[in-house]
This record gives sequence, C-alpha cells and structure tokens, in this order.
Amino acid sequence: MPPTSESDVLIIRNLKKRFGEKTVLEGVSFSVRRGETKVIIGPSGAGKSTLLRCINRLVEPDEGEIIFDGINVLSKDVDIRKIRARIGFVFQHFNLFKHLTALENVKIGPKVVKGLSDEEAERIAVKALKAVHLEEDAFEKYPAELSGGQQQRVAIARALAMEPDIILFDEPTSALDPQLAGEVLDVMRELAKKKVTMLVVTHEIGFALNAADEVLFFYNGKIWERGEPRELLYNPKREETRGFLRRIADLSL
Amino acid sequence: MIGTAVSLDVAMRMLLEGAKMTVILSVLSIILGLLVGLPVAIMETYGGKVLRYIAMVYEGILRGIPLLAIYMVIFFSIPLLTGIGLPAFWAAVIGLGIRSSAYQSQIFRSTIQAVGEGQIEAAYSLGMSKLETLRYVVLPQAIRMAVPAWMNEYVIVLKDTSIALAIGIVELTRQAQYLVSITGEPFRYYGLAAFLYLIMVLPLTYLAGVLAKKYGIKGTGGASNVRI
Repeated sequence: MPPTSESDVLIIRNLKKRFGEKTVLEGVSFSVRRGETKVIIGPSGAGKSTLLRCINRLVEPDEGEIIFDGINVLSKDVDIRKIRARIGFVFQHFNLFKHLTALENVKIGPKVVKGLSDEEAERIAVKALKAVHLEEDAFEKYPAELSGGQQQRVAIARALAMEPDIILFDEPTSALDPQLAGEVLDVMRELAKKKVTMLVVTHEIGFALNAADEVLFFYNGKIWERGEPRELLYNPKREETRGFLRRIADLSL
Repeated sequence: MIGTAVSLDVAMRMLLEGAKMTVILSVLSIILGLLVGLPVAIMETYGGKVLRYIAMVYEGILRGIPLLAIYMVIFFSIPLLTGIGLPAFWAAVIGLGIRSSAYQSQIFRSTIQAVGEGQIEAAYSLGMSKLETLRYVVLPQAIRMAVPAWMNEYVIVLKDTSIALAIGIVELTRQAQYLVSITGEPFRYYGLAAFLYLIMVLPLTYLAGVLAKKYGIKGTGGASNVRI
C-alpha cells in the first residue's frame, strides 16, 4: 500500500478494470501530491486513458479505491458531479462545445455548475484564457475557427476556470502537429511551475523530462516501472521500458 | 350549374381563403409535431429501455399509416369508440401534427446523436448533470443542426394539409374543387391552386437557406447545404 499523507490530493489503490475478456487495469496503486506533476507514459492499450477516465468515473472501475481529497470517489453516497467539478479533464480531441465561442466555452462551467453570475464567470474565464495565452482576438471565435493548438489551450482554460484541485490530461498533444503541440506543452510547463496539480498521460518525453516530478511507465495494465524522470527515462531498469522508450523517443539512450 | 362563369376576382378570393386555412393548419400542425416530436426524440436517445421502446413503437405506428387513414381514425373512429366528438379542424391539426411528430422525432434523434460523445463527456467532466448537458450542450446544437430538415418537414406538412379535405376542411385544394365543380374548368382552378402552393413553398426554400446560415454552427456541416 502506498504511503498516504495530508498532502495527497489523489490516492489510487489496487484499481482494476476489465472490458469483457480484456483486463485493462490490473491493480494500479499510486498517489498524487498537491502541486505535483505526475506523468504516465506507456504503449497504447496499456490502460492509461482508462485509468484517467476511472478517476472521474466516466468509466466505472470494477475494483479498488480512489480517494480524492479524502473523499471515497467510488462510494455510492458520493455526488460524482461535485467531485467532477473539482477535477479538470483535458481530452485528446479537445471536445470543445462547438456552438459556443472560446470565451463561452470557458464561462459555461463556472456559470452552470458553480452558479456564478455572468460577470463573475466572465472575469474568471478571461483570466483563464489569458493564463493559456489565448490571443485576445480569438476570444469570440468558435472552435472550428481556431487552430488545434488554440482549441486545446481553450480546453485547458475551461478546466482551469473551475479552479480544480487536479487536472487530468489525456494525451493532450497527440492530435496536434509538433508546432501546435509545442504551444500547448509550453502552457502545461507554466502550469507545472505554478504548482498546479497535474496527472498527465502523454508520449511527450521532453515534457516528462523537464516538467514531471515522477514518471510512471504503464505496461499491460500495471505500473511496470516508476521513478524520477531522469532516472526512468535515461536509465530504465526493465527491458519493456527500454523497448518502449527506444521506439518512441529520440532521446540518446 | 356546371359551366357557370366565376370572375377571377371571386375565384381568387375563394382560393386565398383556402390558402389561409392551409397556412393556419400547417403552422398549428408543425408546432404540435415539434412539441411532441422533440420529447420523443429525447426519450429515444436519453430514455431508459422502456421509454425508448414506447417512443420507437409510437414512431413506427405513425410512420406506417397513411395520413388519410390517421384522419379517418381520429375523426370517425375515436368518436364512435369514446362518444367524444372532435371538430374537424382539430382532428385535422392533431392528425397532421402527430404524424409530423413521428418524422420530427427522427430528425431530432439524428441531430441529437450527431452531437459527439466527446462533448457530452466534457460536459460531465465539468460536473454538469445529464439534464444540464442536454439543456446547455446537446439541444442547442441538435436544434440548430435540425433547421434544414425541419424546414423540409414543414413544406411536407404544408402540402399534406390538402388531405384534410377528406374530413371536410375547406382549405386550398377543397376551394379549387368547389370552383371546378361550379365552372367545369379543372385545368384553370387546380392550376391556380397548384401555383398558390408553389408560391407558398418557394419562399420557404429561400428562408431555409437564410435560417441555416444564421443558425448553423460554424464549422459543422449539415446546415450549410439546404435543398428542399
């Protein structure tokens, strides 16, 4: 069992999930401290996305425990909407609301979920959009009029505007070409510096290297290896980790 | 009486009166169809198994029966079975309205489903309830995407008002029938009626295009190419 402490925002214990015959998560345990950036890497199909989606119960896990800020997320008495409002989620395909402008996309959470006034929601939204460096002339644009990088930054702002305790990132740059991925990663690095708590599933080894406090390598539904970014990425102990890194990274191993 | 001449002035007045009934009937019917069809679509996409099944049966029955038969059931059979008579006008509105509701529910079902799962997950992830997600994310998009198909449905309803003459509604086609029976000039008066239908429908085609442009969601297809 992993150590628990006051500063753990999120504790996952022995999480299991199967889809039909296929076991996706085979007893995963780890925790995330407040202010920490934790990065999860691993081959596709290793259960990384499923793990994130279990945390805010977009997917119901079969077994295990998820403790968020001392609350048992999987308990029947929990109003999952209240938990979700405190957990940001950034998707691979942005998932912005297509009928709303960038500003409205960010406003809608504080307004509808938190019940804030229009002015208050707008103030928070503008602040969040500035934090992700969205160009001001893009505030009134619709998602389809924005570049992929801008869309993902708006999606991050949408999460930030809820002032969450943690933000989950599900391969936030996988749908972007490298240049646009760069602007999103820059924003994420800034958030890491500002001690925003983040759990990031990504293939961006560079980001893991210079922003993560710890890197988890997922393989076959398990945490196969974990450690300090430099240690794990430059000096992996296990064969599977080495193989994976060799395949995806242009690191000089 | 056949062969009596009718002045164009009188004939036009009769036809326009019929056209007025056609418009009133079609507007009330499309509204009734919307009020029933949209909830049916929501039942089909968001409801549990039972609601889904009820909605599917409702849709299947109404789409499987000819409008004329629906009219006959509502106007003639229901009063016989229940003892409650229904004025022909309201029988016409209800018949056309519920028939349209079955088609409108199809339109809205497909546009509700066209709002991607990703946006729904994003709404849930913000902490929105199912109802809030429907209200703020799904329906605003589904309704706007439905505009072209819905305008098309209105044109169909407008044209199908003519079948209401079978239960005694004096609408445009019925007025033309009168004129033909008096004058014995089918070509002229059915022709005029047909022309009036056309000038009601053609501006709607144009309007559909304008509305689609105005309410279409930027960057989503569907609303930009309107054909009626």
